[in-house]
Amino acid sequence: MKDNLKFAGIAAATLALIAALVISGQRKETLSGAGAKVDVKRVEKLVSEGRLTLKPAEFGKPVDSLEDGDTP
Amino acid sequence: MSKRKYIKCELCPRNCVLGENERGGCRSRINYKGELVTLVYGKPCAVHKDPVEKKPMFHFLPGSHAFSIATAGCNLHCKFCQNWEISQINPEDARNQDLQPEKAVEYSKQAGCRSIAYTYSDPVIFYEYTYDTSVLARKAGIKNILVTAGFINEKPWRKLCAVTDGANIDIKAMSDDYYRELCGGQLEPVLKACKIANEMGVMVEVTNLIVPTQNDDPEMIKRLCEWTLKNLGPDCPLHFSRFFPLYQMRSLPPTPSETLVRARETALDQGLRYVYVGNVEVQDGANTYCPGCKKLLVSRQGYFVGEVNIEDGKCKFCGYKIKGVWS
Repeated sequence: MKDNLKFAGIAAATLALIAALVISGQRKETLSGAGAKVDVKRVEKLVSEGRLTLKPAEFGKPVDSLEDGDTP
Repeated sequence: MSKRKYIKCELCPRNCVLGENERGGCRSRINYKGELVTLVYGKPCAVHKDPVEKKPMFHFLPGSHAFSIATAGCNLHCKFCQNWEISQINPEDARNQDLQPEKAVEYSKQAGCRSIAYTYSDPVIFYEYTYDTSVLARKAGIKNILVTAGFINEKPWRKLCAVTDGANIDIKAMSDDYYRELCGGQLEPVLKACKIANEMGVMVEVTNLIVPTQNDDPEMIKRLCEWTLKNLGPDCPLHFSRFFPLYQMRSLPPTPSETLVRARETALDQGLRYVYVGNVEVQDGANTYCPGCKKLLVSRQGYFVGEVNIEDGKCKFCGYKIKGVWS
């Protein structure tokens, strides 16, 4: 019984890992450079030093999913 | 109602969809607290006074200077980029200075520049800064020049063209595969941008960087000439530019002069009237000749302009109208 539980746990963890890899791989392929995480604290510090801005930009539209992108 | 998680940036054909705290493929626009923001408005990392010939713009106030600005980032990722030190880095990693639009216009006047060039990386990625500065520059009697790959969506492009006087647009190759594989872009939006700018009265000059073994096929060059002739007209200046091994294409040699000379001959044979060779000294490669009487109109050596025989936009000798912005 314990072994079965252990096996199920390992199988679930493996599946989760595969899913995460597939999703992140797809995202990378779809957005080609877009979607990189920003170090917000660093950006905010540079803004306070006058080296960057956080000025609202034009042509932004709220969407529900990643599928709305069509990067080559 | 729950807040939407993603923002789509519709500035360029990448149409990036960004989750919170993510950046676009251009590096300069991010989703910050659910809002699309630009990191680089008024924060150029390069500011110079350049001869306008350096852009290159050869039919645009020859011998004048362009106050030239750029911010970090680019929406294309060309493996052969000649300005990769600023175009392929995040704005956080650049040495930015504060130069708001009002100051940019003021400094360009003080420096005796007749134009402001949005250049080096690509004005598409500092769109709002370019637009606001262009509006102020025009009011101050200073012209605006975009040096761009033209990879932008139609709506923002039309808005920007309305305040632009000249544009040097890169057509990197007449091949969508080339754009996709070497630049992370697409060909069609670029061609469309060229046509729109031309139709809107922007003085368009086209540059083609010839990269050995990648886009130096004579047939491809011929197609570029045919397309330019058909869509932008015989008076559209075309520049063939020499590649130097930089960034991710360091193993290739610089473009041989003969390749550039051959490309120029092809373009002239096709019927284009003003064809130039750049980044290399080639006899007559940078001079402008009158299509009417064949006499020398503008002599150039490097970025230095010698004689100019154009008066009121016409050849001084035969009166042939020369396309360009001359005053």
